Amino acid sequence: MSRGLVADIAVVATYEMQQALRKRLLIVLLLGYAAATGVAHWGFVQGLKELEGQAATAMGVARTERPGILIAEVLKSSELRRFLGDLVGDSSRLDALLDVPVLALWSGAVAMVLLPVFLMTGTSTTVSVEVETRSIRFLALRTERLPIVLGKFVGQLVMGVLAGLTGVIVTELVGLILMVQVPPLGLAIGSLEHMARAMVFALPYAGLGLCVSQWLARANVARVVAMIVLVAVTIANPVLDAYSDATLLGRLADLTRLFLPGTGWGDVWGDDPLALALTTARSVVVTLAWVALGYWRFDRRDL
Amino acid sequence: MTGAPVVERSQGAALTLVGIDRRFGRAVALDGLSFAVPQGSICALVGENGAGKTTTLGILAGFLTPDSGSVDVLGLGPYHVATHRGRVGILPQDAELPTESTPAELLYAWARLQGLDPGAARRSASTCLDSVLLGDRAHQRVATLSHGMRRRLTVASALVGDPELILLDEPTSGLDPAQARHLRDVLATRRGRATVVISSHNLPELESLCDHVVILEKGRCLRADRMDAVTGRDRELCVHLAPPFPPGREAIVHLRLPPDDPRELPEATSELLRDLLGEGARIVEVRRGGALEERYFSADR
Repeated sequence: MSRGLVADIAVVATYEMQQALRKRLLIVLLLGYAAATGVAHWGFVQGLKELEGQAATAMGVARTERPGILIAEVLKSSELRRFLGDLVGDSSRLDALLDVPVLALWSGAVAMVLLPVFLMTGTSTTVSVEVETRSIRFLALRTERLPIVLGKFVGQLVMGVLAGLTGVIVTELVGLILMVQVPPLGLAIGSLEHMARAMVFALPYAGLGLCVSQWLARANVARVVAMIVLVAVTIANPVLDAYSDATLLGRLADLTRLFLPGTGWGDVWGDDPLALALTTARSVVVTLAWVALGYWRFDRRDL
Repeated sequence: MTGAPVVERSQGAALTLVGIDRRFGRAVALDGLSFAVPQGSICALVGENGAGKTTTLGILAGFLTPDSGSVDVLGLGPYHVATHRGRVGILPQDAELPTESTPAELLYAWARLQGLDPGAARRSASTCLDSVLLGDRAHQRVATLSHGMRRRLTVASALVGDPELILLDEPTSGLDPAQARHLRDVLATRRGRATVVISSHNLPELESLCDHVVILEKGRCLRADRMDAVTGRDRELCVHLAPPFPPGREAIVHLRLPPDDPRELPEATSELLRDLLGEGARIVEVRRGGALEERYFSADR
């Protein structure tokens, strides 16, 4: 990548962030993200509280108002282990993953649901709104279309990281307020680590959103189409997975899944650095493939 | 009315369009459009709504691709960022400004994308904002600016980085008379330093500012010439007399120098006025040529 291209991407990304940070929509989305994370965590804590209550009864000790004291006992429960095993796709990974507070693990799963929605909402309109209002002309006169797209993408990813960090803060607050004996630093580090895993998982959704944004010149249409695509992908993944076998149809289903966002849910929980690096690389390649598919159209369109 | 001029790529032209066709679906926007604009001139682009002015500017700035024909911008071929970056500024007629940024942030970002270093970009942004009288609004969000202020900001965006070619689509639309006059003064300072193309329906304004004019109709060029030639200011004179008129004279005396007449207009004017005064005529007004508006609506334009 040339120095000029990188410099232009940086200018466009800064421009994108300046715009986004002052929009009420971003504040609403971040508040929505925080609220959704808070509600999901509250539900999880209620579940833990119930399980701790059962454990306390079995041990003949008093129930506590806030869960956390008997978390080691609760984590031995087959019910919770099955639930967490399903969450990370493979229960054999669970012990390695539980060296951080269980709430951090849960926060990663919540981020893997919320970040794709957040990123697709932002990326699906970032180009189309500028094409619709023709403000793209102020940029297109001055730089190539590729740095415009990549700069906007980088800007949106920064917004995604901001949303993820909002989730980490909510997780920390929930751990401190609704639970006891949760190490604050361990929870923060754990939820940051799982937020990063969630970003790897969500990245292809951002690419898919940007693809939609480059194809459609009406921002509202692009937003609706992106949400329909998000739902379609969510449904398509398990359906294609069910078809996965050695037949031609099965191989075709596997090939399709290679390029679909949302296929690496289990992979991002792994603790093998090489496997994680490969998962990240695959995620980046799929993301760039979607961005490139959108760019094919954007590069040819009248502005 | 003259036929469409035959245009070839010529030296000294900042812009040359040859045989440009452009359709939007079934609608023909440009139909074999050809004209050239001399370097360093301030050129008026006039024509009724739908004549193809905005499409022409879009093609010149690389926003639209012509279906056929050739375009040359600043002797470097059709507009491409790689070759023209920072050399062309445009005020797009219907492009909305990003409302959440401030004028200073926008102009700085655009100047950086034009290749200016951070210091030069900041200085250029500041100079341009001052030139359109927006220096005191530099750090206000665009959303809080009035329509006229936003218009002036888009003009500043076309001037940032001191480009060689400035394309302006309706630059004074929505401005009050004082702001419009100030803007004309700003643009006049670019004469000779840059080529300026102004698309507008305000013909008196264009006549006072421009030295070249291109008249479009239904996607074709009806006439592209010097303003003096179109208005007749270099070959025509109109003298208004007060009664009683000298024998054989009427209230208005026209003088039109034929192309083969070797005399210059000042010389012919002197001779005519000398004759009229000798005949005892009382002269009320002497006017060179006709108004652009008159010529635009007249059959021969």
